[in-house]
Amino acid sequence: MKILLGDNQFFGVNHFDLEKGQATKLKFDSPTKIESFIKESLSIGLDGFMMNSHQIGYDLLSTADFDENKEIHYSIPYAHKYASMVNENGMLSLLNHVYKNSSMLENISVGLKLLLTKDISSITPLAVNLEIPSQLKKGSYIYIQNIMTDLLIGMGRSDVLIKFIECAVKMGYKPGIITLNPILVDKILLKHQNTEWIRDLIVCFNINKDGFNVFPSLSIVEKFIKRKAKYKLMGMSIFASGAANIPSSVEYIKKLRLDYVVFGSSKIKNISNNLNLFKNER
Amino acid sequence: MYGFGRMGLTHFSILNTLNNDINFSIVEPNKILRKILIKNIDAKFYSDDSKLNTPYDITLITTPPFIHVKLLQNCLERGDKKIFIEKPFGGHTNIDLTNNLIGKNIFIGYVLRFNPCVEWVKQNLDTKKIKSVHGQYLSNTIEKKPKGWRNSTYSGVLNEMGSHILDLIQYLVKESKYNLISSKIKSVVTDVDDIVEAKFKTDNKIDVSVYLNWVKKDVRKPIFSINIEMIDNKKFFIDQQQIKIYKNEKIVKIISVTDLQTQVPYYLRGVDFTNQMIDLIGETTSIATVEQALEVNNTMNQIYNHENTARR
Repeated sequence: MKILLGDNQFFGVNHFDLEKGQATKLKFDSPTKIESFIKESLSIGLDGFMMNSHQIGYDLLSTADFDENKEIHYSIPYAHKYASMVNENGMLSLLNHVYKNSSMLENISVGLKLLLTKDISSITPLAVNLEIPSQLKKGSYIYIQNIMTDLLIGMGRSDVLIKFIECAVKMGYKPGIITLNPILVDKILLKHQNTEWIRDLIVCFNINKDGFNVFPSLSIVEKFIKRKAKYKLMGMSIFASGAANIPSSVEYIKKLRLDYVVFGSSKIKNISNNLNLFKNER
Repeated sequence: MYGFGRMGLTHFSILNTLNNDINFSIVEPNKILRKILIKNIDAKFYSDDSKLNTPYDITLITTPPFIHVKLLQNCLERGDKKIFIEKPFGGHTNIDLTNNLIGKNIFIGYVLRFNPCVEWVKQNLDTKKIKSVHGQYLSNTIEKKPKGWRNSTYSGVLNEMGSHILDLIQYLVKESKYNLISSKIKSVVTDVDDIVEAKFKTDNKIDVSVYLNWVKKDVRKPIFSINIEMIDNKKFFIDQQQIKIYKNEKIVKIISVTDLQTQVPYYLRGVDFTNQMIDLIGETTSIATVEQALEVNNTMNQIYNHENTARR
């Protein structure tokens, strides 16, 4: 099982304690502090790190150099940016944003396609291109964030998810899907078991001993994990956002035999302790 | 469904996943958006409701508030069985409970009621012992001056976010009459209200205050909180993620959202959004009624119209 550093601490996300989240955000108030924290985490033995396409994440991966042997897992889009856009200027502002920020050549080709088909999946390559820094190491993982994944599932547009995967692969990256509805994603992927990308794909979802934010239920997700999918499985929120007892959570997660886990902390000491717990019987 | 903006899309996605057999008809007046949606969403699309004469089982009105009342009348005339309207129903100027609304299945989207922490407090609070309540909402929702109705009378932090807090207070405290004592309104980014403070006393002498700010730069995700002070020196602090219970200023219990197991068949923007739709298509036991929503509007109206409201 590979172990990754999460990025929630950098953006003040703490699902358990809002005040703690805010305090953590202040600790990482510059890209340099984030960069050095990631490097220190990697140096003590983590296999890689996750980073969101928040402006800080984008800038960091455009400029910083990380150990070649470590994995970069980059997730798009930064949903809050787009939510604000919709709040301020309505739904169509999303399309405008994608077009305004893309090259003319891409615009003409994709614009024509959209005009002819009116199918939103045709703008997927533009949107993906826009969110990924050109300097991002090929072979890294590109994930679609859960807010987009789960919205597309609800809209009945799982084909756009597949388009995203194909697009990431075409660009030289490995695909990933973050979701809070892993069973629904699994149903979608059943039709794609023979694709070339299926074994590279990572599906990342909540799993923790307490069943906190594990949907539709802990027992159903446990059964799904045991079934051993063709694609790789990554557990997130493994400590129930800090509410759980860490040693027993690690014991629980280790028994599941996932391919990856991701966890965050604002303290190197905590990361080191957690890593040791994982390594004991790794 | 009337309107297919962000909220329309959210409710559509949840309902579409909860029940595969729902046939959707969507009224979306924006021509460009409609043309794109027709090719991307499995629903029938209309530019207006003039040809929709058969009653619907459920109607959702997720348009801007200035057209809520007109569309509701169309739904009532058509004989729709259940009508859900996004908050705040018609905005703060809509305060009259007209006869044709009484006893009808009309519900308003005050989704924070479905937050697991709020649900716990609702079940465990002795409302007879409440001394005072303070509600707060903080976010960085508005970074640039918005366009259209979001920069007009029907928007502002009070209408859009404050209504949630006022509904929560009403829901938890079980008091609907709030008499305004003082208030302050400030515009920072928009031309309407971005920061609002207000103090009230209820008919039963409970002190209520609210602080709302949707231009707070250092907040990443919206935060709401409710502080309830009891006459027996007990206090409750509630936010999205936890409940802290104090006795004589000391914390005696912390209940985290992680302790409150909530499972939903499909998760999109929070268990509260899914549970609201489950309640709507089911028994409608917790969802806000039109009567309760009009009381919220009444309280907001007092703030906007109070002669002593300080505007900065």
